[in-house]
Amino acid sequence: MTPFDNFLKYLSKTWQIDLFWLAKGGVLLLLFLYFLFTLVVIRQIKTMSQTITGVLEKELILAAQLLMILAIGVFFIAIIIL
Amino acid sequence: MPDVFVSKKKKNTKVSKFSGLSTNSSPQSFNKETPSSLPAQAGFAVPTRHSAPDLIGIKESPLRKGFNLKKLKKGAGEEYVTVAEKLVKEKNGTKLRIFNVLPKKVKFETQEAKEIILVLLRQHWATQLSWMITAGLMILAPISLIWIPLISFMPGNFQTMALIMWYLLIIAFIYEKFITWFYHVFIITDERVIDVDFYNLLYKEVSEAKIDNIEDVTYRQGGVARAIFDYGDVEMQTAGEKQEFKIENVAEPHRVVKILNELKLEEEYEKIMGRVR
Repeated sequence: MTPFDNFLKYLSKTWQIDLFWLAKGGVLLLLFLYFLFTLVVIRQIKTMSQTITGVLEKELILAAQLLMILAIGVFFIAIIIL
Repeated sequence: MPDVFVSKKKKNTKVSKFSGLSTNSSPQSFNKETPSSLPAQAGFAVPTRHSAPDLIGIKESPLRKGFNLKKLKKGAGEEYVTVAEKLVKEKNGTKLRIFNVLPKKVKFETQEAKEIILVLLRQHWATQLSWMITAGLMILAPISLIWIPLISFMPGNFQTMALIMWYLLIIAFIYEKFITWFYHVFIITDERVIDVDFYNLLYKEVSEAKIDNIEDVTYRQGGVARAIFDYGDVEMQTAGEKQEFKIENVAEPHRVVKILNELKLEEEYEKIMGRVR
């Protein structure tokens, strides 16, 4: 048995991956990415509002901000529930 | 035929073929006021004097000599109505209209001070049906979990979280599709056309062409859906940097082409009149 094999055997005995924590981490990561997506949406709507003004811009920015609030809310809910 | 005098018997009387006026070879007999009894006795038709207004269809007042220029029928080019003036009569609907005529409060980035937005076009709503149906099916999809337990292996809290994330995904999908459609517009002003292509959240393209530079406008309308909902593609060949402009899936393409052609004529008229903005 090589030293590397010994090292792997040592790792597999001592470091056990908990599936629950992995899943929770994955969910939180996805929700964080969703939060970033909402920030991009807000930024993009503001840019487009400069290109064309006066067309539902307030309503769309408000909707984008609500989406961002929703993303933050769900992120905290995920921390509590999971 | 106007009431011109025509002598039936006198050989030297000619009838103008094109103008409908009669000309007499002896002008003296026409212009001189002769007693009506003399030619009548001689067997000639009695000539009557015709003034210019009579000949163009306006009755001359006995009290006023000459004729009023204001009463003359207007010819081509005397009265000029701009495209914007024609479109004012049309009703304007909601902000979500796909064919928005003279939209109020709408401005764009590079708009000049006196430039008027005549039409703001969006893709026809019928072309958006695919993602609307997809979104509807996505909303209803979790119902199928009653019969197909795809996530039953998960703990209860994870199942709840999976459903919440699913609906967040649907909201993002609908929102992204909607703003992509909403900001993908084509603007026709009295001076130029502007194409705002908003492909997705991270990519947009704004291009424009002056009405003067538009050389050829065509539209295509083929297929069942396009025939039913009356939408199609309008293509423009321009002399500018971007040689081809294409408005895809626009409502009433024939009307768009008509407006563009009228604008081209308007520009030519302005050139003749020496109007430069």
